[in-house]
Amino acid sequence: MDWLMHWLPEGVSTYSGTVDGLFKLILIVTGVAFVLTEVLLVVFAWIYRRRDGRRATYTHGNNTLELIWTIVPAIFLVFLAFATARGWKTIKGTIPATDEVVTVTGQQFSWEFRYRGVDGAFDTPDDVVINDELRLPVGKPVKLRLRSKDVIHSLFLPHFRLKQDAVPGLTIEVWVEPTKTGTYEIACAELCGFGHTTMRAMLFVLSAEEYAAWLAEAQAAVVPPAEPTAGAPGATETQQQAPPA
Amino acid sequence: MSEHKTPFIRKYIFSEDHKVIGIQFLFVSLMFMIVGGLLAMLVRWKLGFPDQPVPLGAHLPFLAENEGHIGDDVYNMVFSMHGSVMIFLAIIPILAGAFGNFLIPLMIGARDMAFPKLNMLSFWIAVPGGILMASSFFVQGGAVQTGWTSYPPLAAVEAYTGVGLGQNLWIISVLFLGTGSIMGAVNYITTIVNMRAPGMHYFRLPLTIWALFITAVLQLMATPVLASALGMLLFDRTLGTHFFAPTGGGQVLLWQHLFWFYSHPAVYIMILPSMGFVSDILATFARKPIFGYKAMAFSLIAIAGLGFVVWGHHMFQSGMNPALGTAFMASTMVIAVPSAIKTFNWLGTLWRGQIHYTPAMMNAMAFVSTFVIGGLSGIFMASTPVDIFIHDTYFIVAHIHYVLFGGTLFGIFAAINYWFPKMFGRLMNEAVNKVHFVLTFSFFNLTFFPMHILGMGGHMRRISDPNQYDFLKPWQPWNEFISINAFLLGATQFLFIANFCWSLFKGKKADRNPWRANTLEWVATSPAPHGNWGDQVPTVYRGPYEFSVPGVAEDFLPQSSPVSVPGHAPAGAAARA
Amino acid sequence: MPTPPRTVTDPGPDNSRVGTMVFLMAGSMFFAGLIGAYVVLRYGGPVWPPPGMPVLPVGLAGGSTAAIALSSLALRRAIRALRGLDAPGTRRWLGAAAGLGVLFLGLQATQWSRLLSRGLEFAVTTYGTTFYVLTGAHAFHAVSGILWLLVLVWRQRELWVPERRRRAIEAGALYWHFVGVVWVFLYVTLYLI
Ligand code: HEA
Ligand code: HEA
Ligand code: CUA
Ligand SMILES: [Cu+2]
Repeated sequence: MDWLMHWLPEGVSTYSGTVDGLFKLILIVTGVAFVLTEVLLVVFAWIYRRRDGRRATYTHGNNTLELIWTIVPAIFLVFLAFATARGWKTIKGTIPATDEVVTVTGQQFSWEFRYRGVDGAFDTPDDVVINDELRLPVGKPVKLRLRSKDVIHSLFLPHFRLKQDAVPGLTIEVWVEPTKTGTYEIACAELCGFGHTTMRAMLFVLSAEEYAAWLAEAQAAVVPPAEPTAGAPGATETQQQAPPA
Repeated sequence: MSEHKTPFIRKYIFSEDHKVIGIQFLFVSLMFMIVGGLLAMLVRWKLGFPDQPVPLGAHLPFLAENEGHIGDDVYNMVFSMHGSVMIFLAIIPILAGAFGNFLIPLMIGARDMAFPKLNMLSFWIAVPGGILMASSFFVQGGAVQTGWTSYPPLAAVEAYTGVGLGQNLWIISVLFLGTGSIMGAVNYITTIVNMRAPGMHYFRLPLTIWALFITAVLQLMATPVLASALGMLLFDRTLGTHFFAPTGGGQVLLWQHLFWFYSHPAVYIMILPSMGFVSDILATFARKPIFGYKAMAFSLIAIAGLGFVVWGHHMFQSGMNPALGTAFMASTMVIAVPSAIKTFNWLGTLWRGQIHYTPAMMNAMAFVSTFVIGGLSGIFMASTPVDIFIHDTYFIVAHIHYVLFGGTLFGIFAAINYWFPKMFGRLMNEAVNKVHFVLTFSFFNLTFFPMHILGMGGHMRRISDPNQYDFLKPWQPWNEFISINAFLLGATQFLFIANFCWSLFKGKKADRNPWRANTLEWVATSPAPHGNWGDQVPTVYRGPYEFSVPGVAEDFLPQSSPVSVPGHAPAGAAARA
Repeated sequence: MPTPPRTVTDPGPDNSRVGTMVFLMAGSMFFAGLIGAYVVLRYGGPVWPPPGMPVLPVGLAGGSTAAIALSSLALRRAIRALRGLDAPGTRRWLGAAAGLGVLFLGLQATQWSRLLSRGLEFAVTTYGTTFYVLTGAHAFHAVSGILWLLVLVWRQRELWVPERRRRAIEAGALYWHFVGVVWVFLYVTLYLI
């Protein structure tokens, strides 16, 4: 089975193993069902092809068999449901306590990543705001707060097994803990208009020190605008066509 | 029944005869299927050869201004219309409209539908629906670019896509088609409940009828909810309401709940009839009773019932409460059980049969093999954590096509092969259809199986150019491979189209019962006359699958044959049971 | 020869009745969709009604409820008369039901105009939109029901009721009761809860 799993991109978050493990489990269960049914089909197709002088067996079914092929798949499915529920709870249950928070805002057609400024609060003029580049520290859970300015987008970090829609009107919180430094791609996975294909961003996972240094520098570089504007998404001017209110 | 005096327009255009209406639906939907197929070719061109202009593209609307290249917005339009046309204008109308109409009265032994006028209306309201959808290509701004799912706000605000009238036409078109489908459902249900021939009790109905009956119930209960949602979307677009706009107190996810409340049952609307056809065809050509008739009927009911409580599995990543996600995951897992029952009963039907390899049988067996693949990929997506990764990737696209093409369309090919003689009084050419089958089955798998692998690689759906992403660049050779097979798959369909047209006029004449089958439609002449049965409606003495009954010389025993079988209860007594 | 089996269906099954009931299931789902949307919007939002928006007139709508309930009762009498082969009675009670239906519509219209004048606009808040859409969709169904009843009254002049019309009356009655039941649901969800 493992050679099959290599089709998946390298998993580099704490829960990528959970996702991949479930994938593998389901691959095994469905693989057995697949081989069983297809082999039976092919074998029957061959053995029971029409031959002269033979008659088909007259039978309307068999209740024991019906019971078996109801209960056996049901057992496997209940088992898969429990395994799934456990994995889902690991990922979605509670967000680990963390002080690393990034507000991610989708808009046609770019991602805005917003870090707290030196004041330690969001949506203030000294926020660090960067488009299409996300930097995260390795080995530390990070909370992402997803919003959207216009239509539904979906933050997709393939290597981290993270995908979450960003929905206008909602703030959706997800978390991720990178396990490996490096450069990765971020995609938009929900159809959001003609620029959907190109709504790409980069993710740099840095070591803790690099990250701290970068953030400090970025915070220092922020020049608060002369007249403070409310920084809340939605209140900021949208460069794209704004929806009629 | 003054057949001779009916003027042409009443007989073929505004006909109230269920068979004519069914055939009208068949022709129109097959046309739309060709349109949907051609759009798919454009999709595959763009994905396989993103840098080359479409052959002859310089002469096509939308592509001409771009030297034959498919722009990103045009790409969105192309796949959105591909999905919409295939689902709303091809598959659903063929299954329910064409086969539902044609088969229900014939297979239950009625002379026509309960409400012939309403039936005619259901076709003539679908036609403007089709015209509206097709015409949306030609209006200012072009056709929809929001997928077949039309999620707001993208679909609710013109400025986000630049598509104005096209989106409104899409909404109105689907409203028309939905209204037609509700009318059809009312008719089918009433007909099956009220107009069965003497002796045709529920558990003597062929599984095709069971399937069409349950499908009608799904259409009846689900389509009105879609209608209400479409109305809201139209109001948001035209009257400035805020159902789906958070700025005015609306809820973006409301649309998804309402849409999938319809569209998940709709995917079963798109598979159950095919399951019915396949059950009948497998039994007929294995010359064996269907294995577990009642289990088959009850599992149809179970699929339909559960189908109403799984819609949230399309929304695991939408921002819906994760606890709700767990509930929908569990119900989705459960729905695989009745599908398992069906699969194993089909295999049981083949077991110790006498399999006659007609094209209908080949397609029906292909249905079983590919439906299993499509169904099993559904289990991956039902598993919420796995779906985080594969949601909105080609894994889903592979699933869609394994169930809808691999399942439904093979079922439709089987059904056309099987009932063609009853519709037109002639047989299709078997040799050509066998070649068509072998090629279609091969190219189908070569096209769509690799999509699972693309999906595992994280390849998003609905993107026009995966090469934008470094992690997808290695997949380009696969995309080319898929595209080439898709073109071959598309080209193969001309064999079928040619055979279809040729056989209409030149095919071998068929007698009443060319397949030596048991169900009532084979009692009528081929093609069946107006009123179906001549003077006397047939009487039903037994179930539909009495093949190879011991003690009977022939290997089939029609439902309407009054012979008593030695060693069995007399037919009359069985009928009273 | 075996004895011919028992007939499952009698020769003249009442398709119109079955068909109407089936159709009304679709109708119920349509309103279920709308009510579902209403519930999501109402309980998904912060305050209901939004500040500055008028409260719905429970009393006036209670009048509507009474009118449509009485109308349904009148229709029951019409059906009783019909089954008792009393053609003039059928006609009279059908007329009464239609009249009460018109009264219901009149009360609804009063309500709309009063709310509009108090500033409850159609498109501005979801509060207003859901109210007008739900009551409007219902009124649309009521109008078609009343027209159906009026046509029956208009046609029914003989001293007997022909079979076709008997079916039309029975089907119309089912439909009208449905319109009434939906209204009661709306009254409870929109005004009372
Ligand atoms: C005919 C159409 C059809 C059918 C029949 C199905 C059947 C199923 N579908 Fe599918 N589905 C679609 C059409 C269909 N689907 C479409 C069009 C979409 C995409 C919509 C869009 O976004 O555009 C979709 C999307 C879709 C999703 C959303 C994915 C996403 O967007 O992230 C999910 C998630 O759970 C899902 C699950 C299932 C399941 C569990 C079944 C089950 O019913 C399958 C059951 C069958 C089997 C399991 C096989 C037989 C059983 C056995 C051999 C027994 C042994 C098995 C085990 C022990 C496991 N489907
Ligand atoms: C029944 C439904 C159906 C069918 C048959 C098909 C058929 C095909 N589909 Fe389609 N597809 C969908 C339903 C279907 N699709 C849906 C719902 C979507 C999602 C859309 C969305 O995201 O919104 C989709 C999306 C989709 C995508 C993803 C696009 C994207 O996300 O970017 C791709 C990409 O390869 C694709 C390819 C194909 C191909 C190559 C075929 C080929 O099989 C086509 C081959 C040609 C034919 C099948 C036509 C042949 C004609 C006949 C047989 C009629 C015979 C006529 C007479 C006898 C007169 N489809
Ligand atoms: Cu943003 Cu797709
Ligand atoms: Cu579904």
